[in-house]
Amino acid sequence: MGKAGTAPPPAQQDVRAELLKRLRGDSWVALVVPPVITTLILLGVWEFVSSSGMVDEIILPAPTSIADAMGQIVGESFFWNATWVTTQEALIGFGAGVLVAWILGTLIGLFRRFSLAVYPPVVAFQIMPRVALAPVFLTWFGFGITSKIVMAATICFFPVLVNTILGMQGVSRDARALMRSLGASKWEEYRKLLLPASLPAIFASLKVAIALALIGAIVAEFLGASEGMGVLLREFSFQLRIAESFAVLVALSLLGLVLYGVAALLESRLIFWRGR
Amino acid sequence: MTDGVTQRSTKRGALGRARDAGTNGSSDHSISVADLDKTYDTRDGKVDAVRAATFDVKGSEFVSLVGPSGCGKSTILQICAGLVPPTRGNVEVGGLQARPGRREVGIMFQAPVLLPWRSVCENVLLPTEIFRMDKVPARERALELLDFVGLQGFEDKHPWELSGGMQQRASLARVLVSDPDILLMDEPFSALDEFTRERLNLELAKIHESLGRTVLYVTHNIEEAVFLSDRVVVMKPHPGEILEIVETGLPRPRKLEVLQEPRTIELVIEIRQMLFGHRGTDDEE
Repeated sequence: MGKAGTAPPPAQQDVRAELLKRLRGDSWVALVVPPVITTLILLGVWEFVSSSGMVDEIILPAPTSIADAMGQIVGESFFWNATWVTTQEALIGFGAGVLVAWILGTLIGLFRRFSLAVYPPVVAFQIMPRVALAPVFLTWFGFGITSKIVMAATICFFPVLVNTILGMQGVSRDARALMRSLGASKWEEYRKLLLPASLPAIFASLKVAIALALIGAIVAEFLGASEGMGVLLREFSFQLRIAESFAVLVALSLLGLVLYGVAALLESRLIFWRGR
Repeated sequence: MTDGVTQRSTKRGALGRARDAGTNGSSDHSISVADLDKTYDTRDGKVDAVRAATFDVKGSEFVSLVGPSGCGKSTILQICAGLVPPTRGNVEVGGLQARPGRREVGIMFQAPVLLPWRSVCENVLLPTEIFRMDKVPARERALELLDFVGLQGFEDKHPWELSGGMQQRASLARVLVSDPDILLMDEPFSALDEFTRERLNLELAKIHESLGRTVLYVTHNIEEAVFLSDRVVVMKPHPGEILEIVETGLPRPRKLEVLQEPRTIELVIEIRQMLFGHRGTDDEE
């Protein structure tokens, strides 16, 4: 207590100088402050445009209205139920898509003959807009969670496949020559060289894949489902409860951000040699 | 650190022959290349990388292959390592047909080729895993070798934390960990700066002299070849052919002063003139 009393108040000048110094440097302040300012300006303009009546609140609700709506639906069990359903669909679809892509990519990367036979049709499949498959999946797997999982898996499959193959192909010739000169078996070469060497590329694709899985789940929900954030979004829009729709959108973005963050965290922990 | 090899002379005995008896039946540590041809099929037709190469490396001898790019020196080394099949001719390493995966033959590349997800020590241990050597003695030996090449205290670092010269030292420790009798070295220090390269060459000479391994060393640096070798195989490109095999006859142990001896300078000039005599076909260097 006494200490706080005797300490001289920090000079205004010093604080400013320090802040300016941090803004110029690579400190977290320089990384965080500018985007926050941009966002605040955008929100301010948006708030003004909506609440002043320039744009009808039905078309574009003000950020404060969205925050209100958010506060309301967060108290409702149906919201959490929908969030949980969508998260489940996205995560299970992600897991399945990644697993299949990783296995297939590994086989394509390892065996030339297999690659020649399988890769062209896989690429052809990629060129097709996979979102268009959603109605087919709906008829195949019904209105339940399965069709959403399949959609999520299908849509996040390809980036993982491509990066698995690229990761294995990117291994240096010297490293392969080293393994061969030691007489390493195909399995040893994979286990000790190709697998770890391809992990950075695979993990990079996981961050893309998790976001895509969420898109897949939502799109499938739009087409036909009884539960999920996609359903919620559609219903609010039909009822012209646009503020609530936006609130769900915000929640979806946050969900995507959290999933992406987990993938990025895993990557930075596991792939400590990335870029080396 | 720079003079690691001389300071730790007491450890040399342990390093010299760490191998348990019976893993290598052959006591033949020589290399013999007889009438070797290597032709590559390229889009522009056949390219003679090596034509009618014949030479040998006796046990415990240090022989360099020297010549400009495209003379086939690296190709010969890769054939000796069993990484590339010969088109014609016979290549025997340690009394056996050249093939990969032999504990008694070690190969070192121009790049250190360290795996970034492994620590320095784990990188050195890689061959011992493939050769299924016992873990505990292997680790002991790896640490001893890291000490030997001047990397004590760096065993738990990762490759990217090491300088280029230190990475190549680690690579040297890795090739020595399986205790090979024959070392195949493909321009191992050519990517390093002048000073580091000279220093590492000096240490390599000491390692060769103290451990008595057979070395086949590929380089485009004539001075380096003369300094290190008992004999220098001089090669010309297009097609890759041996011009001459020069006996250096320089005294051992090799010290830095050897570089200034008249005999060394003479040899370097002689070899350079040999290569310049074929300048007509040499457009790469």
